[in-house]
Amino acid sequence: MELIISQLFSGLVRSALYFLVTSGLTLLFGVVGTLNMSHFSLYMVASYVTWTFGNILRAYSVSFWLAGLLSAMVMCLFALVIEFLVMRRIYGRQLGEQLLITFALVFILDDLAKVIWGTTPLFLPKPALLDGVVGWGKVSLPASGIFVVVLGLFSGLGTWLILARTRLGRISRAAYSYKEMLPALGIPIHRVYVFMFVLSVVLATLAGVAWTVLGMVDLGQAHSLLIECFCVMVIGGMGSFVGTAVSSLICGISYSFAILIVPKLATPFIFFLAGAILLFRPWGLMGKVGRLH
Amino acid sequence: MANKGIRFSLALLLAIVAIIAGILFGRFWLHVATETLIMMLFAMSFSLLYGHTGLLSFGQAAYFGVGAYGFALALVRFHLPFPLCLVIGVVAATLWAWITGYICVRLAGIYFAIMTVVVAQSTFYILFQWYGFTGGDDGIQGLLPPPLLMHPRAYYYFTLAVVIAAFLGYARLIGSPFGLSLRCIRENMVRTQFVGINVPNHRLRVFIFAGFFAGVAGVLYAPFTRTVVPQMANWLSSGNAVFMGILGGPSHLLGPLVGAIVWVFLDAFVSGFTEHWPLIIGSIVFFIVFFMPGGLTGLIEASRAGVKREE
Repeated sequence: MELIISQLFSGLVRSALYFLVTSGLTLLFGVVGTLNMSHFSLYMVASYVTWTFGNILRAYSVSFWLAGLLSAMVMCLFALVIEFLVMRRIYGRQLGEQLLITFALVFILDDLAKVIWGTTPLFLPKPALLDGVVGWGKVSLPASGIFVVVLGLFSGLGTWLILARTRLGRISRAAYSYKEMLPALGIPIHRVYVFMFVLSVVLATLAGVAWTVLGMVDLGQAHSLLIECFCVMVIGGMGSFVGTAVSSLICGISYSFAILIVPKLATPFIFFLAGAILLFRPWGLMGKVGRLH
Repeated sequence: MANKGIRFSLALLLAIVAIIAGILFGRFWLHVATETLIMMLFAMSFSLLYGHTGLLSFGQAAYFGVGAYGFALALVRFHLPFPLCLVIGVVAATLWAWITGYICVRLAGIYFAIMTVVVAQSTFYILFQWYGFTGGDDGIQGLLPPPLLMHPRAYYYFTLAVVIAAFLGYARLIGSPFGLSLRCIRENMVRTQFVGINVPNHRLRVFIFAGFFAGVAGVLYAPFTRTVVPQMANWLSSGNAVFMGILGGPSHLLGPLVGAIVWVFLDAFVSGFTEHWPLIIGSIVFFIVFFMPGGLTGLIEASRAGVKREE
């Protein structure tokens, strides 16, 4: 029983990480129609930025939380710069060129990270609050994991509220369902695009913060998650926010149980899941059928 | 068509230059030139799908890797003769493209691209995790070509012969009625279906052809570097094919050739003086996509069209 609970919990932590990384990617795709391959590199850069602030501010007790906040602000600015220099220039272009440009951005960001932070993995000491374990009876769960799950939950809820309740969120959802209509109604669609890109980077930053709590910050962290997150996105239905939440849970939990049974096949298991879903339900669990072609 | 004549005389010129270069080049440049030739095949594999059918594959490395591993396993585990190993590698890659293509071609656009990434990464994982058979992340070393092809110059000419044969096949393929149907599919899939062309079948067939070209590239690459590693099949390796294809101009007959030449020479040149090769190649790609839509061959075509207009 304890084993199942602890495995379920580690699955939840993984789901939260999947969700934080994938939700930004899928929102950007849904609203803007561009698949940003460099999303994962932005997540990695966010981890490095959090590490840097955390390292500078280490002497103070509030340091970690402040570091998270500061890195979110820095990443927002960085997102605006990238949006201005790159993203807004590729929105109208062919799929191949979009993928190639964002792929080139992966090369550039990875190499810049290597220049700035070096190749050795970096470790940020956890804040006192997240260092221990929380126990009920025989079950004890790491506090850092609980933090990540709560972070995933709240950012999911927050993003959902933004999309459902604010004017900009409503316009974004309108863009998801029928993009041609917005300019016709006199709505400046490029502002929606800027907003969406910044939102996706903020979500990636939260994922980066979550990762600095969970493990080592290094250059490979983005690549190891990339394909799994693509699978999460495909299973949930590309562009669907709720679908991504559901498929993150499915993938995260099935991963943590698969690793218990056949450790070597845990990652391929997610690929096969995605392959099977695409075969029978190409639009994913909650995607839009019309988006397929 | 005069245009076609010009393209073929350009290709012929390229072949003659390649033959003469083989005599003049020293060891280092022979190495670079051989890699260029192999990468041409890899780029053709991508261009056939993207440039001519409109299918953006981000997973061609899967067939490149399977070709290389098919060759390596036949040679090292089963001690088969060299030519037979080459055939086994290509057959393995083509079969793998057939099986996985059956799943992939049901999808279009971005979904197709993601599915090919997923397939390629699954292939990478199989090669990476199956220690007992594929050697895991150590890969397989000591893949020597037979004594006749041991010298870099001999291997260069062998590769050149294969690539010329493959290129002729490629040109024949995209010039055939089948190739025309592919471009119809690229332009408008629904209307092509109305005309009575079996679109899913065509897409599967072109996917298999593309797997074949990538497989030939992989098979030639293994004895060239004397080793195979699982990284040959991962998504960064697929990205190389995308880079070369779009760099050269994916729809142009000579696009893959130009793309591969530029790519490999940039690699050899830039990595000679800086370790920040990704930074530089990334910036170059930015420049090319923003300022030269249609790739390098597109630029040449556009300037030629401009000259004609002035006349």
